[in-house]
Amino acid sequence: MKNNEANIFLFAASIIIGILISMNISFNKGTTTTFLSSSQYQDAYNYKNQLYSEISSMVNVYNTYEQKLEKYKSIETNKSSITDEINKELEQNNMILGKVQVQGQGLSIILNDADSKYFDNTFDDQFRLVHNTDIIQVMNDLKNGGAEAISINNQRIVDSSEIYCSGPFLRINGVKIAAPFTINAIGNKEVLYNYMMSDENYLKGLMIRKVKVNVTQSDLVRVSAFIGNERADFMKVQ
Amino acid sequence: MVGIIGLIIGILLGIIFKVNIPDQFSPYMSVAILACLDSVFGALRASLSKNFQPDIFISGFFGNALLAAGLAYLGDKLGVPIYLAAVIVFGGRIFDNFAIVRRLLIEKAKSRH
Repeated sequence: MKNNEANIFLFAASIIIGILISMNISFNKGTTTTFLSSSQYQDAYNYKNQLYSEISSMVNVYNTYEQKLEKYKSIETNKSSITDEINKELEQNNMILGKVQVQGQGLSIILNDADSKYFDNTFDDQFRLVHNTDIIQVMNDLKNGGAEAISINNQRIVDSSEIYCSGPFLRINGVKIAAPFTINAIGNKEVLYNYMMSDENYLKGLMIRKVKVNVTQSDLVRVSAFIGNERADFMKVQ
Repeated sequence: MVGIIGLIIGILLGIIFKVNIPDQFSPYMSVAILACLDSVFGALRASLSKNFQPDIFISGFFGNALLAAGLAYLGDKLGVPIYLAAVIVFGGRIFDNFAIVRRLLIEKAKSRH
């Protein structure tokens, strides 16, 4: 009898312990700690900061949209001011898409083939010319450096622009252009200049190849509008 | 045997109902679990040596757990790791109790021959 009683108590007590243990185990699953080396910690720390800055920029975007929405709501009765707002936004979008001529501070880069005295009828002559690949590399560098709008010999670079080798010419937006190539880019001129003239940048390589490179900062760079047709025959809004 | 079955049932119950305790209670809970385990081993020993008393068992079970958790909490507040005392005492007693249980079981098995 006494043994039986003890068994019952033991049973109940071990059920309680089991529940307690599983509570702790299921809790511990949530927070697993990992030990990081200092470089891993540094990486994680940088990643955290990056995420924080992303969050803050997203909050900014959210706030501007919120303000826009508020504006729409507050001027709901006045149709003409809504139209004004929409036109303003349309203008902004056209500017970003390259439909209008824009101006602002930025860089002007002139690229031209090397001087004739460097040509010696060998294979090296190839390196003295400006090729389409060179222009593409410079374009990529400009975009990486934060250029907002780019044109090459007044051909605006948009998302459908091609930079194609066309014999002695380049073909951009279906238009053949000849050297010298004037690349206009709008952006923070100091940042762009420092970035483009840094040692690891492609322009330095062009200079070593004796290609004529002329980079000037300017407070007023003009980038012309994209003239051409976008095609939307096959794509549809999903 | 009864203890192991109870333990398994308890763990299953805990997993099924997913009861979670708050973050800050976790360390005290571990100490309390140790105290409860000690009580259970004590009860096992007592039931084998036929001097099990339910009132002592129940008071020890809950009293030890509360005292251990309380001491750990106090130690946390004071900055002294008192929970170590509970861990050492209850851990040592669990091994003591287990040793006695083992001896009793082996003697029982021997006397049956």
